[in-house]
Amino acid sequence: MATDTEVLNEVVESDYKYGFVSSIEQDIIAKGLSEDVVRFISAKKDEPEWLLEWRLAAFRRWVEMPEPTWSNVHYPKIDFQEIIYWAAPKQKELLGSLDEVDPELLETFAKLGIPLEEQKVLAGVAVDAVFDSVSVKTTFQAALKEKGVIFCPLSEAVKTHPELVKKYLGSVVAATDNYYSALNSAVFSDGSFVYIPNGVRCPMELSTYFRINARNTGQFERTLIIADEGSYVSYLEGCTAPMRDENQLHAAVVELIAHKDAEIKYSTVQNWYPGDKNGKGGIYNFVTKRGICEGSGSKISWTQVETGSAITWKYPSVILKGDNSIGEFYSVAVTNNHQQADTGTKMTHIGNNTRSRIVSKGISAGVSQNSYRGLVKVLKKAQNARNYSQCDSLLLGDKCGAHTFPYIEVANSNAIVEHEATTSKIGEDILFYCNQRGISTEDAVALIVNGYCKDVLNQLPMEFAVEAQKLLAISLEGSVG
Amino acid sequence: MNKVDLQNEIASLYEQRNMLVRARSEAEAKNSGANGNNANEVRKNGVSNSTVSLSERAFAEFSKIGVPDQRFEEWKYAAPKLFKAASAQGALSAELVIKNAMVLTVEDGEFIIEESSNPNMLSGVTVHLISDDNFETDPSVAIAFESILEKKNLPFASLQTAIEEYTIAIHVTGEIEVPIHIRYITNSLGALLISTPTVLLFAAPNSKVTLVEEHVSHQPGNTIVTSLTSVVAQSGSQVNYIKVDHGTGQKSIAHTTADVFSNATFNAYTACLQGGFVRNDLHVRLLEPSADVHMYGVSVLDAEDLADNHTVVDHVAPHCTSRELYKGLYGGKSVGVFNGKIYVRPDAQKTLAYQANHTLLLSDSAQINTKPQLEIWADDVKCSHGATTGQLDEDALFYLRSRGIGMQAAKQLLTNAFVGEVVDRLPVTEVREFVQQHINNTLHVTEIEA
Repeated sequence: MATDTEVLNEVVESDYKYGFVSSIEQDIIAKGLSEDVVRFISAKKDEPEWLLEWRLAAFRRWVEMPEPTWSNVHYPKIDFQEIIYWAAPKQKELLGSLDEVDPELLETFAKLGIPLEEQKVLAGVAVDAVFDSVSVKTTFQAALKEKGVIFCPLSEAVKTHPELVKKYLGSVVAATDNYYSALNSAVFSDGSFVYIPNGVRCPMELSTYFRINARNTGQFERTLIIADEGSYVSYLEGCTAPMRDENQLHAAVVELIAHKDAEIKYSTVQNWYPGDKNGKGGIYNFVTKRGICEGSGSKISWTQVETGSAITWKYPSVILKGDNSIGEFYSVAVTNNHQQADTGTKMTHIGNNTRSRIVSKGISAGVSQNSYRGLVKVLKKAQNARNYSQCDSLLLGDKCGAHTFPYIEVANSNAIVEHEATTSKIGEDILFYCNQRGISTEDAVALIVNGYCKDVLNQLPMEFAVEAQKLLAISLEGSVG
Repeated sequence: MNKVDLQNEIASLYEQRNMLVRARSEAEAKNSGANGNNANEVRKNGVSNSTVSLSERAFAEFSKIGVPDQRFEEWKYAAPKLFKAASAQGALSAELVIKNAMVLTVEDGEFIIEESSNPNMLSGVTVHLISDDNFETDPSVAIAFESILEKKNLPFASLQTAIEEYTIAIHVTGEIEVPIHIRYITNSLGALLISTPTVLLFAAPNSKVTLVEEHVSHQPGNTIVTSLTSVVAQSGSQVNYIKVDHGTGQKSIAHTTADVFSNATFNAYTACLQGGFVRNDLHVRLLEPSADVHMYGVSVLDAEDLADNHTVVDHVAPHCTSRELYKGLYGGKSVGVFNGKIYVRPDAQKTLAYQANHTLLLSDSAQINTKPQLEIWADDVKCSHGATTGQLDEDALFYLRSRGIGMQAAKQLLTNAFVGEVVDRLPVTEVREFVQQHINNTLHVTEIEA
């Protein structure tokens, strides 16, 4: 076996590219999905009986469900028997310090720009890094512990806080909610668990980096965030993935529960591999994200910047159950080359005086297709509901498409629901104005695009906002003149 | 009635029609001898073996979807109400009389000559009844039906094409100031499904015509009436199309398709004034540059009414404009549906498309489902849509009340102004007054909540 130094040297000398494959020894099972695989995963994770039963119930239901085809995205049929459902970095004995972590693994994180140590000091961000399927290292536990905040891998929470997990897991996104949530429920590998106790304002922004690593392994994370009465948490999710030729499936489930007067802010920068210029490869991002404003005065806010993935298909939603609760959705979805996106949100107004706000900005370039699909539903008993939606599309190039499918269903006479949408390209007069003042066309487009997305980018936490702006520029490189 | 009953009924109607056609063609074959099988290629019933008849193709198209249910996206909101018995109350609705108009009456699916005007009363307009095995007398009819079949997701239009026995073809060559008034009257209590004759309106280049289509039911019942109107607006022509639904508890499924050519304008006005179940599918294609379409709709519903307006504007050619404004007042337990789709094809650059849907819910049991849809495949376009649902502006109410206008009067004033944006545009005075009268009546009986 190579010594640590040799491994390090090898890593240093190796080609440093954005797309790379870590060759850490992995615990992998044969591809394919069956009840045995579900049992295997559950046994591997040493799960209690109830969770195994829960998984199996979801699996049995999934087998019977038809694959959904209603979306505005097109892809070759996924062979679910070709996917490896379990790949975890080889588990070692419990680690006490960073030194004991596989150096190559640490190196991989460094490449991804997650300096665990430095971030502790500089950014004040606690990172729960998910490397393929098992959370490897969780930092800042102590600081969070002091406040009573629980931030740990879901698999750990199953053991340490079974009552919370049992109570909330699947309470917002039922195991049988849809095809991909059923699949996720059956085979979910790991994910993050966050619990903020009564009246606590989480002292730092919680963050997780998902990473798809081993070949052909679908990632099936589950995130569960519970904000108890009067608490506040801001959670960041950011993703990068290495180059791959095969399409990889990512079917995660995120559940948020906000109790009375609690607030959850969930921000995502998604930058997975979008496939090459000819549309080969890339990630399929089929995610179910939903939050419930359970108590009165609670608030859930989704912010997303979607630049990656060959196909993005997700609708982060809010169920406004508590009176006076607020749901927000801010989204920038950029598609270039052969990317496809069908994304939007669902706001379900159930309580009285609930408010929701939707700002969606789509940008399509190349031969990509970008769709906004949203639902605003006001139930009969929801008095004084208020919604404002704005979805704008920007077209860069004459071969791309922009589509909007907003559904508005109102069954209460005192609801005020407004929706507006526009589709246009960057005006030649605006470009000319910039050119005239010495700004090149490329820069002018970046300027206009950034201005166009400002409403959404402003919602992101500081460090994400900077990253997101750069991402926008990179994603659109070469798409104009 | 339920879906199975209706499907059986449809199957038997189709079979009846086929038997009729077979009998007729056998008789014809006897008359014309052995070599009488000539120009049948274009015939709708397809006596010749080489071509599948239009009727068969249409039925196949219908069978792809069948009687739609809730799972069929385009019928998501309407389907659950389709089989509910219409609960018609209220007075018999007033009669719409348009002075000097050319009247064509269709009662329970049959064209009634006695209650129709002389087809030759207007110069520049010809009206023909074409039995569907006589297509060769008017080649544009076959073309029009092909165009209708190209439009997808219209199961009942396909069905009607499959089972109807004759077509009313109207050719307009001049500038006609007098409206053509088609009345669809339903008296039947028994039938499950009545398929009316298709109306084809051909507006020749630079012609001008106004078509008023009135759907009225005098009997509450379960009868589903399907109708199909197809307009071809040749270059430079102007076609005004007004559709008014009123009466007590009818179930009307109406399709209107329009192909608009260069510099032509197609103006569609839709008024749903109570009347049970009304489903309108309005499909417009802008086929040549500088074609314009304007679509205005107003729905005033009460009780258990449902009005489902589905519109599609298909921008095929560049430099075309479409504008769309639909307004709704929904009271009682009524359900309003608006689904507007703007489709811009890759070549349709410089498209201007605007769409708006505004709704006032007058009761807590009323519902509105709106889906304004944009599908854009070209980049140099300006498309926008807006949809609002809400109440009367409280500031405006306060303003009026502070000037001594009572609450009820202020509400009526504002509500009238709200729908006025559409009503005032109706180009035929009698229709405008008729619609206005209806709205006034409704506002008097419906208590508007702030």
